[in-house]
Amino acid sequence: MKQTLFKRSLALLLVLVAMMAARQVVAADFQANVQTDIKVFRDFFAARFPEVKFADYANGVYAIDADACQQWKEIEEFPPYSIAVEDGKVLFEKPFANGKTYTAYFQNGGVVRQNYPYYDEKKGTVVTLEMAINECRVANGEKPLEYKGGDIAKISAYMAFISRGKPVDVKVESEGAYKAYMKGKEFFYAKRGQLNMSCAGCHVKYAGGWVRSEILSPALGHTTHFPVFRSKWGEIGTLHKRYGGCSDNIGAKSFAAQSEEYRNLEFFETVMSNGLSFNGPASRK
Amino acid sequence: MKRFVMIAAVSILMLPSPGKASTLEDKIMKGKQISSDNMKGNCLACHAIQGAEMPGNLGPPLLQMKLRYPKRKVLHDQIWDATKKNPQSIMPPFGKHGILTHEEVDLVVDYMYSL
Amino acid sequence: MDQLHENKEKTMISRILFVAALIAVMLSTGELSAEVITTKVLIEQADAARKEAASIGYEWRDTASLITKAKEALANGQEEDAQKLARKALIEGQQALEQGRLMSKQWEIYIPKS
Repeated sequence: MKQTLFKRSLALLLVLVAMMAARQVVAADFQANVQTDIKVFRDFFAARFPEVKFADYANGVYAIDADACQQWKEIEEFPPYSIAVEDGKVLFEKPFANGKTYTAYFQNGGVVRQNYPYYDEKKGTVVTLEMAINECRVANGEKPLEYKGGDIAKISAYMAFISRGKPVDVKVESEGAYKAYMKGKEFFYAKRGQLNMSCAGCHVKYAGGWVRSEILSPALGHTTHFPVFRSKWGEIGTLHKRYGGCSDNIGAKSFAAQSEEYRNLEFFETVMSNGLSFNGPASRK
Repeated sequence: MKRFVMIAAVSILMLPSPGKASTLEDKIMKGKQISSDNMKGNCLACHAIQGAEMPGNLGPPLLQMKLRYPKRKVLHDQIWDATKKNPQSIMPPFGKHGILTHEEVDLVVDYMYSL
Repeated sequence: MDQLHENKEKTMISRILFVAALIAVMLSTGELSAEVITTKVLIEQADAARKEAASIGYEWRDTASLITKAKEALANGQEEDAQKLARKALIEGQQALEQGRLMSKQWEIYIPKS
């Protein structure tokens, strides 16, 4: 009797160990797949723009076009986003009605840009910085902010500014994270809209090409420098505002800012930029 | 009386017919309008056309089109749905996706053949 | 017996005549015109296709507003415009759905090689 119980327990233990080992192998598969994707992505751009240093991709079009770079450097002497950063600091430091501030939620005095986006296992979804800002507000009895511009972009701009130089290092370490990553990857490469275009079409395959008088930015480094003061908007705006605009441009119905689709896309794009440094906020045309 | 009737008949027949199909020049002009309209062809977004300012360069320049596309149907099909020949093509399927009608694509072809 | 049959026949005929008159009136007022029915069907089909494309994340930008405009034109008695808009919306809905189905299956072939 004891022997049978012992044998059965041993068998069960072996099965459990095998399952754990299998999960480890599968987890290692995720990471290996993601690393392969990153390498393929980087190699593509290294071959397309051999003179551009890897770190410079954080500067978008300004890394790949000398004229645009010169103009941008001149703009950077009096950056148009500096007022947004100042406003953002004021908003960040202002206590909520309950007396608490954002620092109760965000550590390091708000130097946390490098922690986003991340896959939240409990929530089962990707969390972005803007989403976390609103979570903090709601947790403290405040109304959530609109996601495309205004105050949330200013707070995000301030937090990006004080986090400048922090490394982009997004982890994909679970099945859930990998699923979100793959959804973002599919979104990036699939053609959509009446114009039948994909993110990759313009920002990988034809990166550096001209559409009328505009240069197509490389996708490598896409998300490091947001939020941006876009001349076209005349104000600071978020990454998801830009995603929405791009969707519109190609005749696709845009998703809501901070929708799961755009968060997964941000997740994928940021993983592809692993190894670069966060350098927001930035000015763009 | 007979003479009068004959002269009248000949004069009437010599008048230009109202509402008939436009001349080739008209078609080329209409095709150019469609091509330049950024809600329709918007060809300059990606293609250079001689004399046009700030063209894009994602696609080949549009010149010598009659030489490059001697068969009208082939050019029509390419504009209608470029992904048929090349699924990877970034060129929008102007006809298939309802951006241009067959008539409009025909007019664009007329314009292309003038380049 | 004959009388009964005759009465029944009379009732039948008067009923048929009544329905025929009703249809004639409706046709003349446009309530049941073939055009209107076609446009209504097109609008329904367009919206169904649009919804299905949306369910897989591939809805196009303008389809919903084309459908709204078609409905408005129909309500205003502008049948020709309504049908044009409805046809445009239907093409969009169908193409968006076809695009979405294709992409869901084979998006990986669109990863640029070099």
